[in-house]
Amino acid sequence: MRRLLVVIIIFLVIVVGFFFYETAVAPETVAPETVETPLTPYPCPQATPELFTVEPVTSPTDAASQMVRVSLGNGELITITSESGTVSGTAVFPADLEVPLLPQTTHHLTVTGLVRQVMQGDCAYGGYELSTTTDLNGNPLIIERN
Amino acid sequence: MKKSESPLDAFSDWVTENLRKLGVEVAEETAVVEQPIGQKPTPVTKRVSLIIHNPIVPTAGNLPLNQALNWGDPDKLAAGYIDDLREISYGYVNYEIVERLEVNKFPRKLDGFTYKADEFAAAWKARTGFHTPDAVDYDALLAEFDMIAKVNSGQIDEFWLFAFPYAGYYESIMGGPDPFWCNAPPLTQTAVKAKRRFVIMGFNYQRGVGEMLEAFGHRAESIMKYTFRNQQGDANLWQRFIRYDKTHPGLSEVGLMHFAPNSVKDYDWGNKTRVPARCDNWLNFPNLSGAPRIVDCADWGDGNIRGHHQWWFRRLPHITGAANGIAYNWWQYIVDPNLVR
Repeated sequence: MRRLLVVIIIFLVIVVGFFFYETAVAPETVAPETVETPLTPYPCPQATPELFTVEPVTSPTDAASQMVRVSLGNGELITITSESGTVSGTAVFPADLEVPLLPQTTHHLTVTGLVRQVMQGDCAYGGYELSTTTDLNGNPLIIERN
Repeated sequence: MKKSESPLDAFSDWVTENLRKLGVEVAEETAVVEQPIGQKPTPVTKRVSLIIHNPIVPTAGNLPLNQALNWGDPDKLAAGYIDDLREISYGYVNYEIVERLEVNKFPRKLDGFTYKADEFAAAWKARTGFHTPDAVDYDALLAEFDMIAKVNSGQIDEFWLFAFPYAGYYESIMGGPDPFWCNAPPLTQTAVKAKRRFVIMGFNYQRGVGEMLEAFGHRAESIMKYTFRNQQGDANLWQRFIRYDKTHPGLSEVGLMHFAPNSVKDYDWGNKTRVPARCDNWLNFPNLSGAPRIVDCADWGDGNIRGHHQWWFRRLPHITGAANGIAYNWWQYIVDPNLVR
């Protein structure tokens, strides 16, 4: 492979040398400084998901409800589902949603956030849902009411 | 210079050495072909310029933006990312930060707009008022940080930009000769002046190492797709690697960054549906003949972004050897796109 490279280089040196010798009086040409952007359409860049976190919950508790704080980047809607039903709220940042708690019940929370769709040029981002059953520390979102 | 066996070898060594002195990239005589199959490849070290846009916020007691808004420490994030990449590449990828620049200003947008620190902090608190178009001016970055000269001199192999949400960076973008799509349109304006390809990563210090791995993963997806672009049918191992159950029912392999073997939508890493997948066969590469096993999200971290991405990266081929002109160590292309032919 290396030998082939050397042979090619020697050949090119000879050819280029001959070219410059023959064109020594030709007008100088200037290489373009930039390359034109090709017209090939590119795909849309892939994006990481929006920030989506849920603060730790308090458990066990005697309270009949608990505020759960959810942060969702570019959020549109937050929904929390548990044994007591479903609560939803507009995804202001952060969103505090009040989750009702049934007596003597263990509540397993599933938090879902809908990310608002936005356009960047011809590319659409968002419009998807993120869902979690754990808080920002990775602990399960479980609330036990006494 | 290694000891030569013949005058022609000696001459070729001399030519190679002097070409390198002139800045011409001459690939090593392909390790790809000569190394025995199945060995651990020789680790590589890549030199990084870390550029942190972290302006001082006067209304927050002159704290830097990341502290004023209680965001992450870019140095710690970079360290975690480096450690993760070393571990998940089985020791092959070693990034070394050889230059660290912390900049007390916001990067210029493509239309010339530049945030002021207090205005940005206020917009963040209100979650409104961010500038559009969002895209950053890469020409300005290339010039301000003298990127091409640093690449050409060999001082730097790649750049890591760190900033705040809505900074306008691409997660990765490629410059240099014949640059190609790297999860962003290539920086074709660098093609004439840069002597070798380089990647500029764009990170967000509001987020974590998992998101940094995802940015790197999209870079990997772009580069590997391009590497295998001329391979058809079964020879295109990349197209096999990325199969997941939704697109190839019953024939899942490892999947993509956004799609684990059982994912039904983007970022669906916490799906508990059990599907057959041949994901573990890639740990025995190039022998991919093993039977599938049943997997679910418990295999890749139960929905944790970092856990899934580490799991995915560990299955990239990472041994010596080659077939059809493509190395069995896919990492070499991902960290050095100059090796992509």
